Amino acid sequence: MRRLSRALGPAGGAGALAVVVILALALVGPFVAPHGAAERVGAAFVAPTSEAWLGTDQLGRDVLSRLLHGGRSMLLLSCAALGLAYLVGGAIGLVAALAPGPVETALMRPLDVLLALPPFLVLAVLATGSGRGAVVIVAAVGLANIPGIARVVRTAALEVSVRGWVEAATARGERIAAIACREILPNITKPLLADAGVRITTAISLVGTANFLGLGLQPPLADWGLMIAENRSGLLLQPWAVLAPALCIAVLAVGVNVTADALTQPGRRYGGTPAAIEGGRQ
Amino acid sequence: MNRSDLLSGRAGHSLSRRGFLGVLGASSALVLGGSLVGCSSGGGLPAAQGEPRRGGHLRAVVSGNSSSDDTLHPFVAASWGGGMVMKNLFDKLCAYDDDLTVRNRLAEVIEPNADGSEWTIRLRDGVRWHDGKRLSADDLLHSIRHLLDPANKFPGALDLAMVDAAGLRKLDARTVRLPMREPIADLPSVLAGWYVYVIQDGATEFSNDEPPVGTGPFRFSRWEPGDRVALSRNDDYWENDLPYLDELEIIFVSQADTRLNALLGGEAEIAHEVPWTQARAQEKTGQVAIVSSPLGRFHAFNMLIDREPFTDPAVREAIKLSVDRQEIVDTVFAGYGEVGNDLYGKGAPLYNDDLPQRAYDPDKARALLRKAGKEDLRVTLHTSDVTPGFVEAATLFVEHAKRAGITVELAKSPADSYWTEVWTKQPFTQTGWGNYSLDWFFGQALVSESGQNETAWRRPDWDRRFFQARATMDPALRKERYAELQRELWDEGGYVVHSFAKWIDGASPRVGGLRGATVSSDRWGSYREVWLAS
Repeated sequence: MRRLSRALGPAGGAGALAVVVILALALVGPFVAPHGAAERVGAAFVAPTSEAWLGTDQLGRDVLSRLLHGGRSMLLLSCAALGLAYLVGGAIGLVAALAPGPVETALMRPLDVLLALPPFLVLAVLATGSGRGAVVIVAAVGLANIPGIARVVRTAALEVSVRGWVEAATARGERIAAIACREILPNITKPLLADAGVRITTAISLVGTANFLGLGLQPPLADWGLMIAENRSGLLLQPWAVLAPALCIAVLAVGVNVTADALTQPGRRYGGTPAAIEGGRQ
Repeated sequence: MNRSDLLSGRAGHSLSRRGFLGVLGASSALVLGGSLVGCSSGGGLPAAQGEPRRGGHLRAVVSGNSSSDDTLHPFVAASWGGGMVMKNLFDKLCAYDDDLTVRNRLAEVIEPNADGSEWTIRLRDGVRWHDGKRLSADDLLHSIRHLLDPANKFPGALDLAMVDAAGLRKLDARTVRLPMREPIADLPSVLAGWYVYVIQDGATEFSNDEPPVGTGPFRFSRWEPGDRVALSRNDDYWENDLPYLDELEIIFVSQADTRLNALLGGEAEIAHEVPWTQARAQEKTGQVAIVSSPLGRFHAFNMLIDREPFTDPAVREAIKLSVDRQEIVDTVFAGYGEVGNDLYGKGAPLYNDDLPQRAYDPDKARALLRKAGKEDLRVTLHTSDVTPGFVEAATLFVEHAKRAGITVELAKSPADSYWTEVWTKQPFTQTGWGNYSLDWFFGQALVSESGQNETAWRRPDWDRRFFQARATMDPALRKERYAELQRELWDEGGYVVHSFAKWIDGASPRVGGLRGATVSSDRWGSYREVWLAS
């Protein structure tokens, strides 16, 4: 713990704390929420009271309860999308690094085309073509991230693949999959972690935007992005219905970014080091 | 072109959906005329009082079309903003009053023969076009022929589908005789429809290059498609020394919040269609005057009764019993409305008030479904932000229906494709209409052949009885026949009319002469009686 704290530094520590708080809010929230997510407790857009600490939303539902119910979907969707993207993009990047030539070209050129497309365009096209919902969000956010991840992984893997221990493994006749998993992956965690920090922030933002625009989750589900969209017409009447979910998204995004940034600062010893990449296996 | 062609015309379908029909979507209300006193719903600031003042430049914000869809053609302008422009440039033969009875405008007399198979229209004397020419029977003949020309595919042709355009006859300089394909007892109720303006003889194009020439209270000055239309006072207007304003600028702003902010920020003097909750708040703060329409607009869920699971009358009845209408009115419309009773036209002549109000009864709904073997019913309701209040009403309905054991899943569609890709394509959607006569609505949405038959209500026998009722000259018998038609719709139809929501407008305290008017009525959308205090 102390090692982690030292590795993070003060800014990273604050970021990590923010992430932990928001994660706890999202994961435990539904169990401690005073009301159901769809339960009406009063008139629409009522300012905070002792019964409804954050007031009510556009249909008279408790904003605090919806806030506590609404974090899971964003986290799950963001994590699922990035998991998918790292699985596919990582595999493509590793194969491209270890099998240069036609295989690399066949794998990377189509991704270059995809990389040229703005992530939101991918999302909008998928949502229009195949309907709305959680699966579409995961697929779209995943797809939007695959090219970038594949490139990062390929570049990092290329750098490591010329090291002696990789050549030794190759000389031992180890299979390409084993080399990738045992020799290369553990030594590219640092750039991957730095990359993931930025990507999580982008993914959260994209998932929030998709739900805000109605391309993803559908009402009456409680979701932070949806809450902002649903209540924006009452921003001046009852700002907490919009501000509370917006703050949660912002704190989560900034927290993740700051934490990842701190973990990958030069000189910090967590998740791989320049020495490891330069000099040998960890 | 026969009636069937007219009713199923594709162009007519899409266009009328967006404006006329309550595609209340990106649209806005206009509530005008008379005095504000007694019409404001509550505590907002009083509007300007005293004698109307001449002069001034008034800016009104209203929703309109995008620059590519915008038009100056009175037979095409479908958005609320477009309709408002037309209302001030042109005139109709007759128009609805606030109670949806009809009053004459350009027509002096509109009278039928004994059986309603022929109608005679005599125009008001002394009316001049903006270019100084006198209004004549030739203008009326051209207007009707141009509107009904099948090649034009104007949506308004649906309104006058019963008129035999080939048989039109000019009787004298101000009088025209209209033979009917089918007799009708109340032609004025359809002549008051959205598009039925009188245009000048020979006019077919309306643009900046060929500026519209009307008989309305304002002359055309400038058009910036998708943005604004500028008008100036018609000094030769035929009605009571009106209008008061020197200049009128109608500015198109699609977002309701933005419209209200324009008013609050002093960028406009009138904002149309203020969101209901915002209106309630503004009444308390008193920053602007708030006016609401006497009658509300129809908001409904519509089931296609030829699609599963709605082919079963028990399922339709159960759905109708599973809506807490009062909660929707109180919550979504902030109390600015009335509950619906699954029928169009609350407040209109011939509306059947004798039917009992359908109540929220989830237990009865559950029992009906159990009896029909449809327990654990699951349905998908397609909704969209296309019209204020749609998504909110649908969201509340999900919870209401749960208590009846019905699982309602919402599918939210983009506003720009809702009317073309979802509505009438999916079995369970949402709809909304402006205020018109029952004659007009039945012809548009309930006759078998109508392209806008959004409940798949196709019953030849009902059609026959509707045409018979529409042609019944005896008012008492006609009312009785309409009551029967409505009872059948109430019992077995596919509409769940949950609310009649009022239109709300906000105005600067400098504005006088603005009052609540029923949407689509004569005063709605007209600035001829509005004035600005100094």
